[in-house]
Amino acid sequence: MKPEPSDEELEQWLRTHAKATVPDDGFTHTVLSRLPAKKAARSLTWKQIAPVVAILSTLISLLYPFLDTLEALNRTLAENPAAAVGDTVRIAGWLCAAASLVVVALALKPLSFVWKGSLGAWHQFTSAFRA
Amino acid sequence: MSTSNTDSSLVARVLLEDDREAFGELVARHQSAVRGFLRHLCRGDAATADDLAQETFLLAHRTLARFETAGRFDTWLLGLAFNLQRNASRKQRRREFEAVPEELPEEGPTPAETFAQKQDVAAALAQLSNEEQLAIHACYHQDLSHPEAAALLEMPLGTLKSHLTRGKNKLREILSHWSLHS
Repeated sequence: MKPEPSDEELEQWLRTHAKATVPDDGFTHTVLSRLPAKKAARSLTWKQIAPVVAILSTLISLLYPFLDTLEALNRTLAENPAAAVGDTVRIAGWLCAAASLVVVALALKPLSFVWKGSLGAWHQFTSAFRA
Repeated sequence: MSTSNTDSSLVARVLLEDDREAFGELVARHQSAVRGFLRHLCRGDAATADDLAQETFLLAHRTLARFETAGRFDTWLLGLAFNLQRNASRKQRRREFEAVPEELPEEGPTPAETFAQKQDVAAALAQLSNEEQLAIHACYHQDLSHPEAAALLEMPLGTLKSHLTRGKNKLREILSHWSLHS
C-alpha cells in the first residue's frame, strides 16, 4: 500500500486531475435558440409620451392651487387657528390626488420602460466605472 | 483580458441592447462550470443536468437585471442552478411519493462496487456523501472561496469546512491505494 497523499498533493489533484471540462457540443446554440424572440428596437412613441405629458401637466396644474391653499393656511393659522380646519382638509385632498397620480404614473407601461432603460444605463455606467 | 470581454460588460450589453452574441459568449464561457456542477447535483444524470443547465441560462437571461455587478457572475449562475435543481428534486420526490408510495426505487450498484469496477476519479468521489461531494466540487472544481461556496450551498461556513475536511480525509484513504500522479 502506498503512503497516504499529503494535503497539498490531494488539493492539487482535485484542482487538476479531477476537474472535468464539459465540452459545449452545441449547448450554447441550443440555449440561444430557446431564448424568446428579440423585441424590435424600442423608441418612445406619442402613444407612450402622451400619458406622461398628461400626468406631468396635471401635477403642475395641481401645484399652484396647492401652494395658494398652503399660503392661505399659513395666514389663517397665524390669525385664527380655529378656522384652519377647512384649509387643512383641502391640503390633505391635494396631497391624496397627487399621490394617486404618482401611483398611476408608476404603473403605466411607458414609464416602466423609462425605469428599465435607466437600470440598464446604470449597469453600464457601474461596470465601465469598475473596469 | 480586455475590458470588453469581462462578464460585467457582457451583462451590460445584454441588458441594454438585448445582445444575443454577448449572451452566447456568457453561456459558452460558463456552460462547463454550470453543467459540471449540475451533474454532481444530479449524481451523474447528464441528461437531467443538461436540461436544468438550459433552464438555468434561460432563467439567467430573464432575470439578468437582478444580477449585481459587484458579485461574480459564475457564482450567481451556480446559485440559480442550485435552486432550480433543488426545486426539481423536490417535485420529483413528491411525484414518486404520490405515484408509488409503497415501492422503493431499485438500488444500483453501491459506490464501493462501482469503485471496484471502474477505479476512476468519479467513483472515488462517489464514495463521499452528497454534501462532501458538493463542498469539494464548489471549492476545488469551481474554484470558489470557502465563504462563496458556503453561501452558494446555503450552509454555515463551519459546516462547509467540516464537509471538506471529512471528504478529503475519505479521499486520502481511498487514494492511498493508487498513485495521484498516475
